[in-house]
Amino acid sequence: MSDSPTPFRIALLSSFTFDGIVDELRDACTSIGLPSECWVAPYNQYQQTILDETSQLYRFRPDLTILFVDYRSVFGDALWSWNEMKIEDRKNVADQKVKELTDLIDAWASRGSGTLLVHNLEIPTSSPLGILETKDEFGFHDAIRGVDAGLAAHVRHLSNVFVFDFDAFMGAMGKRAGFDWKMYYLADIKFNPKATRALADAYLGYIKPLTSRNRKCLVLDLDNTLWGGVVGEAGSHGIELGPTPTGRPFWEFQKYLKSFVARGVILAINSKNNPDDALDVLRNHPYMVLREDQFAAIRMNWEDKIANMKALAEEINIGLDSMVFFDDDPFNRALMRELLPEVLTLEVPNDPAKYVSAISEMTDFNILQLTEEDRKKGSLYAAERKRRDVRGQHASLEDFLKQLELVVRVEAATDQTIPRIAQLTQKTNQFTMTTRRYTEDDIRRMRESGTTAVVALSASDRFGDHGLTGAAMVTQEGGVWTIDSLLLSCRILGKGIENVFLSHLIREAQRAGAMEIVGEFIPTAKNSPAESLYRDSGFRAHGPNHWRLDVTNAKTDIPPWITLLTS
Amino acid sequence: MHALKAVVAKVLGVDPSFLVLESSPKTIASWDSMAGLKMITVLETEYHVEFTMDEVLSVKKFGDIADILRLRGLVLIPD
Repeated sequence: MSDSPTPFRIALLSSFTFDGIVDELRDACTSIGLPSECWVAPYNQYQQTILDETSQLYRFRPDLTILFVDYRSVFGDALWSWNEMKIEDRKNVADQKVKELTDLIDAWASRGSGTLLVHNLEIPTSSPLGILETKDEFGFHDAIRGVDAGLAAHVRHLSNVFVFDFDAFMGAMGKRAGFDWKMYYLADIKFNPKATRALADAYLGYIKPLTSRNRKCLVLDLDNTLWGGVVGEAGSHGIELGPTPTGRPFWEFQKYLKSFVARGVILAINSKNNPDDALDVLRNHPYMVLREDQFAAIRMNWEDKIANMKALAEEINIGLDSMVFFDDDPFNRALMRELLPEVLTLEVPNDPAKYVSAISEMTDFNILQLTEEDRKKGSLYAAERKRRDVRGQHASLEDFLKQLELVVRVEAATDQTIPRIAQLTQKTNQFTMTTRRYTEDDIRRMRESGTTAVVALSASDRFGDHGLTGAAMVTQEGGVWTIDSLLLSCRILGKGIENVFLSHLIREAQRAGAMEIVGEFIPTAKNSPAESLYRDSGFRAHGPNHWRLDVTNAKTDIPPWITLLTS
Repeated sequence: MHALKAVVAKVLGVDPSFLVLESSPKTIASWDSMAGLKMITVLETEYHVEFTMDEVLSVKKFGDIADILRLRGLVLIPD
């Protein structure tokens, strides 16, 4: 508002006294930061005003023209005598009314600029036909429905003309509350002045997209927002979601949100949660409607929600003023309003039963047309997120591993550790190169053979000790070291420990003056996690299942996040 | 009475201190027919009443409004 922007110009044309809307409409526009200027056509001169191309309407050059014609004005005395009319006359009158209105629209379209918003007609709360209204052919309500349908059909292909569903607006508010008989008779006001602010707010549903004040992205919390309960405490099976009285509000909320995606709204997640817990629900819960694919960006962590919100905006590449925040926690909402006022933070009902009602009445995601690209927008963003995830994971994974403070200890087997080593060879199925099963006696004999070294690996991090979780048997003959077995418990995979283990073996081979290391990989149904260890470490394939490494030039890098202790 | 004056003065855009029982469309320029109707709407909302047409038409000056509200059972404490 700093550099005095041009006000948004609104022209109001009506079949009755409608001046009362001006102040309310200006206030409504101010509420979305829009300076406005209104012009009201002379009382009940909407037809003349539109048809006269030199009228003040066209000189005002409105951005938005609102035409509010009510059914009493349109039908006049026919309203009282409908039951006396022949069926054919009734139809003729209705057709004539459609033509009068659509002719006006066409006249405006050939002369006017900006956008035209035309009210449809409200279906009254009673009929001159009484309860026979629905029995009689082409009753009075049928005539109004006919006018409304004719209007809608006429403007369907006019890109700058829209029908304002006044009948639905009145229905939502209560048709009796929308009319004040005293004001009608006193001043020909055919709309209750007490309801003008609500009507002005409904107009905002069009003004927001017309002035690019609509929003693009809905950012959602998870616990008690997309499902009931806290998944970190209740587990995926303990949350409320699905066809039960307490699960259905969340289930249907998600179904409604899915329709947003089809309208081109981008969804994102901003949640304080364990990613594993929340992703389990997103991927595997049977009643989860919104899956990972529906979200353009996801932040599930223990960062503060403000930082996450900024990161989401950056990742999706939209402004904070395009975002809407929905979170059941009043503290988070207050924080968001305070620190990121550009974000629209919705007032969320205390009762999840009202979530659908709350979200369905907001107008901030309104768009004036829906392109094929809009329909696909949600999924395009989701695909982009997946690509980013693959790229982004390395950096964040390393950070994650660094803060783990991993310590790996490799030592020769002892009498105390042999039972555990034997057990590991018996039980390990995934990260094992040869899956050879050994008893304690087998291992003791190996150790005493004089040619085979048995080593044990233990690991710990700042969260605790993983204990003895790896072992290797290496036979040394001449200048060749042969790895008979190498295995790690799956508990410690994914941290680079396997590479450290192998690097340590190679270093010891180098130190001992060995020339070559021979590795063996015997595939089983379960040991694919270990499949590429030798290849990734520079070994060359040498016949089926065998790998060889020239140790003299071998790389033995230890990742910076692991501290290796040896005896 | 103070609260009533404040409500009416706000609609008319005048200072409530200068609103007297004899204030009327003749003495306040902004009190035109639209303002009169707006006043009715605001008073109905403020005092949870619904005026009849006759009541509305009987208002010729500010004092008339006070009289109607008194007849409706409202206690207006003098300033």
